[in-house]
Amino acid sequence: MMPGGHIDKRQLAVLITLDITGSYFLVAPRVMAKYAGPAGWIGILVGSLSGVGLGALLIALHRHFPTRDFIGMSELILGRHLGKLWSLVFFGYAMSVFLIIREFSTTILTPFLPESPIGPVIAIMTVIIAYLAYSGIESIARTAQVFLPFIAISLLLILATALAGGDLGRIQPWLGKGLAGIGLAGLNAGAVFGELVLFLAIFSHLRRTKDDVSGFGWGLILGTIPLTLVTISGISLYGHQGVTRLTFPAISIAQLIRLGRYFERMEAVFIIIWFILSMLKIGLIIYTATVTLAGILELKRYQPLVLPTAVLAVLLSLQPKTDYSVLQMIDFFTNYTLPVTLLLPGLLLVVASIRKVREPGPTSQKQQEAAK
Amino acid sequence: MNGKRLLAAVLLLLLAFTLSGCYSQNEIEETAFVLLWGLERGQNREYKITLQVAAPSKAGGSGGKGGGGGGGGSEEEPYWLTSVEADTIYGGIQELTKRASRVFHFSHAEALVIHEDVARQGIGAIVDSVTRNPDMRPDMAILITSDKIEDLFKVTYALENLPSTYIRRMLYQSDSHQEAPLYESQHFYTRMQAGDEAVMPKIKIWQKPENQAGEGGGINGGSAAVPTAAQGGSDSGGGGPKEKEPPKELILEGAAAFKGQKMVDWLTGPEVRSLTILRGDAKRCPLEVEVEGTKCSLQVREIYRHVKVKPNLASLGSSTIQVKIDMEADLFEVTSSGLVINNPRLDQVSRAASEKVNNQLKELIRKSKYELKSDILGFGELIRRNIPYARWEKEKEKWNDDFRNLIVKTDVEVIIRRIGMTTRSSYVY
Repeated sequence: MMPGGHIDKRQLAVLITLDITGSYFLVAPRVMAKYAGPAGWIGILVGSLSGVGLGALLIALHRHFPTRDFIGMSELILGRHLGKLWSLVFFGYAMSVFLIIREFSTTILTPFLPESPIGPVIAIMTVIIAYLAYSGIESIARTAQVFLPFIAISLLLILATALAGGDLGRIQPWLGKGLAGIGLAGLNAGAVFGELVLFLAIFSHLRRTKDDVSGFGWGLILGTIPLTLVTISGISLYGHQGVTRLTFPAISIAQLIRLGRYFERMEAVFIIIWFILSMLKIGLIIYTATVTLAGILELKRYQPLVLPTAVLAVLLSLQPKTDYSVLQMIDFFTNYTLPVTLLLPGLLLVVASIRKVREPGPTSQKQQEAAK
Repeated sequence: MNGKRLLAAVLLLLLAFTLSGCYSQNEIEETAFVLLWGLERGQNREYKITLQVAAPSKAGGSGGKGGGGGGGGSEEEPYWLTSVEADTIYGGIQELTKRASRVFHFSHAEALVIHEDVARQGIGAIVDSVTRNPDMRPDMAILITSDKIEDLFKVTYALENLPSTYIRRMLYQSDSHQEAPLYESQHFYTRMQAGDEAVMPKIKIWQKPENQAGEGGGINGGSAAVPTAAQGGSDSGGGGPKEKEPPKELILEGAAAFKGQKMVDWLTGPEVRSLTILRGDAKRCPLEVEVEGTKCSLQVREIYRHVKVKPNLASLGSSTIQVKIDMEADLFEVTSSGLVINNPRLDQVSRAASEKVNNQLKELIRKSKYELKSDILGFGELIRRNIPYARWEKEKEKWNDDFRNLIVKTDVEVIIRRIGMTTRSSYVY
């Protein structure tokens, strides 16, 4: 296990919430309405089922190997070389975070900074992300704990606006584009819940192993609620067809927030809140990627690798040429990565049970304690 | 530890660069805030774009100067009015920047006024431009006019400095008469589609009834006599007839009904009110009823709208929709002092009121079905919510032809809750 601090149950829940809502908050209404029509919000709920399934896998693995992160487990289970290879897949998956970086910077650039080149904006984001990842998982978790209330407030305002100015009836018919559509939406949302696989690299920071179930469970619930509500709000304000046509649904929804006739134009405040949220999420993912990479390279500390990893992600994020290709790549990501996220822990679990791998006895635990 | 702190400090310093906002900077002194803008048919090009831009330097002093010399007031308008002809809206705005010292900013634009000619031709391209441009906000009001837009924007009103404030506040104020709908650019997404066609408020320059008696009487005739209009008329009449005085008032009344992206016809104020009631959005509206030769003036509020949809899957067009509207009314005026207000009498008044509103609703539904042939009532949307998704997608194209067979049952119930501060006029012995 790499250094990075310890987290408790609540912090795990906060991190999971952060990872689910994170930047997906910004686009969920559009993607869900695209597949499921008016019933997009059910798509999120269906998708969260994959989060439950994945959670079961992750917790089973964590219970078997409570002190090991992903690289540790896979080296133990698959052997040294195969384990490294498998961890490389994990690292590659974590690097798809570049999509989130690009998506979020586009969300800032197109509506708010139309003349700015993307480079400097992303460079500034890199600095923040790298610093977060450098500080370790405990710092990220504590920061997230501080900012989560603001995010809850922003959500409440959105919901109030939807209730006041929208028409909740627009989410009918209840089945939307039919069960197939809801299934597709569920698969897409499931890919986002699939990102939780990254917590294989984080669980080992838990102070008490048994906290994993309640932390994960609460995180899952707290993460699903905002996504569901923002989808309902989006559809009731813009209609399911309208939401499908919005490039940045969350921004368009935030633009409608009006407190009386005086507090208007709240979206600038909102984007700051969401900026923090997204930075924390990206920092978290970069942390997991870096830790895994450091494990593959058998380094004692992961910190030296933070900046290179962040820069690599940023360079990747600069690859798509137009906003539209970003949307396409996100669609690609959500369409195809769910199996990968299930396979990553699934294979480990299957092989571990076949080979009857157990965590090495007390000697290694003593080593762990010595390392602390 | 020290190295970490140093790194943190350096990173924080780096962040400071973001504060200066070196790109995309908008100095407030270098920004031209567009307050109102209008689109008409150009003489040579597709559009004539008229912008009304705030002139802050003039706005501050206008009160004092207005008090000093009345004649000079018109030159010192607190806005800059400019226009250009162009084929695309964005192109036109860029063309205008050649004549401007500041960058146009649309995020404070209160309203877009579209001329009837353009609206009848179709506003699809305008919808795209308004919704695509990140500068334009989804809460910008959309209005339709048949007057020359430049004249409309020049109307100076006594209570507000800027025409844009005037229009915006009139829109807010429309809650108290319900004779003009509210349509914002966000509604392009929801209220401009099959089953829920657009209805945009109509704004026009208000002319004294003496000059154009026919038109004024036609619109305000019947029960819908607008008290403000009547007052305005008598005031100016008392002041003595002045010739060719520039118009000082606008009037927000009626609406343009659309079919798809094209305007098809005007709706009168009372029709818009019925539409608002039918859609369940009426907050406060005046209503006059006559009982035994006595007129009673009521203020009516919509409490609840129960809608029951029975879709007929064999033929969607002949589905059944039941609309039951519960309203509360306050009694504000009884013209005959002999009329005793008691419960039976109130029942009589509320029955008359219910009947009147119901008849107006039926008339509106008839007009929408057979004259406009456009579902401005939003019934298609109600049907959509109650049938499978694919079915609606298949039928929505021809909905405007089909929905005339719709069986609509309306039922209005007005309950008079409050009778005011007196039970019977005090001069009756």
